[in-house]
Amino acid sequence: MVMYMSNPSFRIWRRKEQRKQKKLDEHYEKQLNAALGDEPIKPTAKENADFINKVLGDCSDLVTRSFTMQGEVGCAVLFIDELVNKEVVHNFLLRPLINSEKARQSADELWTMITQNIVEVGETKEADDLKTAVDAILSADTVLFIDGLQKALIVGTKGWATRGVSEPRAEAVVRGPREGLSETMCFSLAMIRHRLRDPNFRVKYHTIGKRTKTTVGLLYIEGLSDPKIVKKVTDRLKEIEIDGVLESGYIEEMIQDQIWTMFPLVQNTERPDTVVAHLLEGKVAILVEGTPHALIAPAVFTQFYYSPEDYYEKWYHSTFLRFIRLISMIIALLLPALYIAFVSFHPEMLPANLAIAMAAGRATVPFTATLEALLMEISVEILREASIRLPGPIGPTIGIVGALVIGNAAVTAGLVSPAIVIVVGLTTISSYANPSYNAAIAVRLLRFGFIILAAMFGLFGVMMGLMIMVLHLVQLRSLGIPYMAPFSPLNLRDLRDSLVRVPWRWMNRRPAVYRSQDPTRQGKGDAE
Amino acid sequence: MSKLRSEPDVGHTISPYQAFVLMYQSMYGVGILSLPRDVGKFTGNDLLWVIVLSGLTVWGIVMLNTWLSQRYPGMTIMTYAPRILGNDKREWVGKVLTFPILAGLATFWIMGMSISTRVFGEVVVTGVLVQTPIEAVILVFLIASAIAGGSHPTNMAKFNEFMFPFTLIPILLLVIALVQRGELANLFPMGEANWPLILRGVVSATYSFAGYKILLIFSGYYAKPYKSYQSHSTAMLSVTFIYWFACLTSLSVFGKDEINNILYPVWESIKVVYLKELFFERMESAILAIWLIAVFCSISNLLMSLVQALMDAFHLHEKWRRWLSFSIVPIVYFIAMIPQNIKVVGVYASRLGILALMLALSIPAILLPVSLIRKKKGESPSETTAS
Repeated sequence: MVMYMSNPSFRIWRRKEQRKQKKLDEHYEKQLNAALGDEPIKPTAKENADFINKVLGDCSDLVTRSFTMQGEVGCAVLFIDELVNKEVVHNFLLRPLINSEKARQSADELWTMITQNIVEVGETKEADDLKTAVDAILSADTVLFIDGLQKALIVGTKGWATRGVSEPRAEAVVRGPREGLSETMCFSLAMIRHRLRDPNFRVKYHTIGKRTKTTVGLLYIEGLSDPKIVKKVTDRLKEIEIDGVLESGYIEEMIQDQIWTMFPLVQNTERPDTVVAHLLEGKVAILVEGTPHALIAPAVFTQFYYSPEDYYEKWYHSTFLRFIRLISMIIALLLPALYIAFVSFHPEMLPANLAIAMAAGRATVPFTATLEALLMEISVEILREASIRLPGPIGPTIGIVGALVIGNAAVTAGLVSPAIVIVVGLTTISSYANPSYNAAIAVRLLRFGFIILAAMFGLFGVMMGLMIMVLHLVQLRSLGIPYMAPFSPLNLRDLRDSLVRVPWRWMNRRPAVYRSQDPTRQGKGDAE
Repeated sequence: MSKLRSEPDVGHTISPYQAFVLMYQSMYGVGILSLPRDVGKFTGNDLLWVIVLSGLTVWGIVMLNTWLSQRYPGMTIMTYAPRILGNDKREWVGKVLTFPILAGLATFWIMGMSISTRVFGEVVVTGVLVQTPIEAVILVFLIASAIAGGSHPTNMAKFNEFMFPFTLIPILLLVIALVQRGELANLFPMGEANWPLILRGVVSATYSFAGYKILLIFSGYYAKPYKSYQSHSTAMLSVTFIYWFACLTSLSVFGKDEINNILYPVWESIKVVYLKELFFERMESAILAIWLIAVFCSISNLLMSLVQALMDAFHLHEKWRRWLSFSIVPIVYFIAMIPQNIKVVGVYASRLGILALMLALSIPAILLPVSLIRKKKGESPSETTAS
């Protein structure tokens, strides 16, 4: 790479490329700004309407309604079809305007009358240039131009089709609220506000995406979140210069500390109650317009194994479930590798009867244990992917056909041993026990690495792999917070909400690792 | 964008608990496997109190080294030794005088890593992976160590901290072995050894504690240097206790005559544990896999300290860390492969042990008086948070 850089022809080529890119950028800016620039609002409504139609390229969904108010004043209303709430536009903007009674007056008086008495919509704004007007139209507002007035009225009529509030599908709970965040950010925000009536709750909007102009909201509680963390997130959000943001995944990748890791460094959730719970621990949340998945940062490894339900159910219940999840993570990560290690390297460790039974099962199998495990694991991954892509009603059928029919047939045909079917089945089920999808994927991927290590060095290889994995994990940071907290660095107090979940009465302080400004959760905070 | 991502680890230091774990993990390694035989062949049943005596000796040396390093908070030996030995006008004098220290430490650490790796490789090949060539085992082990050795000291501290609880599992099995198969009669009579033999036993036992010299490097990252006496003493106490307990178990299971004829008495005494209820028929592979943690931690700590020492001595940029680590590993590998068999390794180890002891004693013996006489002292550190 260094060699290329010092090469003169490479440098010339690079300079050329840079110049080209600069030109393209300038062209875009020109299109956007120079066409509108500080273009003032023109004296007649028709001129303005024509101009905006030209800027937006005479788009078919741009509705221009020209009419004469009070029989003599020309007006134009512009909005984008189906993006606005038509009832509002028709009943509370157009009808009052058209029906307004005649009264001879100056232009300013007319403006006052329109804004004060005629338009019956809650949210109105004034625009002084055409760029603001175009932005407003594109963000689902309606713009009113009036002859003889050098300003436009922006009427808040946002009302595109929404999916409404539905149950979060990826994070099901037995007990707990059933509503999930929405694609429309203001609905999501309302759901969060509804649960959090703290006057210190802050929402800061950022517009990210040069072309999509997506609204991204940064949520935190002032006086609770560490200002350094808030600043870090804000800085990283401001640094993003992408052209489009369609999902919070874009933001997640852009703000995380490190790209070269399989483990999720930012949590995402569809649940408003989860967002609030994390805000109350002193973290920050990020909402992105157009997706129900909110981001939560900083995140530590253990929180990907928590379910929101852990805090709603009794503590012993939750503690038990957390242990179950830990065991299922270990099974999902290591079971196929351990199977290979035991069968190929350490059969003496197995009880004699089991070892004999397994050897008998493998007697007719033409593959080595490693190949057998790899084949089965890959088939299961294919099945899993296929059942997600298939249309709803067929998905589960494929699962049953794949798992039962093919698995059984393979055993009967002597292609694989019965033991590996059990191992793979258990592994797959265990990986579903993880409440968080992106952490489960890391485990799924690493499993193959462990299979290969076990095939080469048995238990010794598995341990080596585990240690490299832990080494990687302890080096990770999420917004500067050590990823393996509270285990390393060890914090005894925070251990209360880690592998176990102690009764709420004992959790008087917020987790220390997030450096919350107000560490006390209840009582004096120090009662044991 | 890249500017934000590569934040330096400023303000992230080693907590007193991590200091304890680092010291503990660096000492508790491969040496324990053959310890009862190494010492027992000189002292017989007196092994039990000779171990304690040896622990006390090492504790004394550790305290001297701790005294030296806690006078210079935030500095490693490679940064404060030039200050002690040189003067402000001619910095190069100090640097040149520090070079023998670096050379000595590097030699012993490389030798120590080689011997540990070789011994562990032999154990793995004879015990578990019978058909795998030892070269492959050692190579994989060293590559993994190189990855670990190429990480920042604070990250290694966190790694050791996370792994610490797992290294306690074999001790639990030692307890079971003692209860199941231990014989009180095997421990007596005591007091049969004479003083020269006891002295040889003490010296040979100190080799099992090797690894404590890394405190000369780690101390530079302590969040609370004034607590280092406490952490280091606790670590010494724990390791001495575990060694003592391992000796107690193997002695009471096998008796003094038998342990002299067993290659790895501690491992053998765990092998006698019979736990049918725990599903597994024979535990040795599992134990070895867990023991791997202890060995891996001690070797990676040595490697990491060596890398840090070199970086401090030559003022290298952070990006060279991984390269240094990977370039030291081949040397370790070749030295590890030199001895013909495990017996020769044992001979080398005992010779090296005496030299290492002398080095560990001579560093504070030279630097501490000079530092005290010249009244040189580091600045007290600013408030930092442990990571």
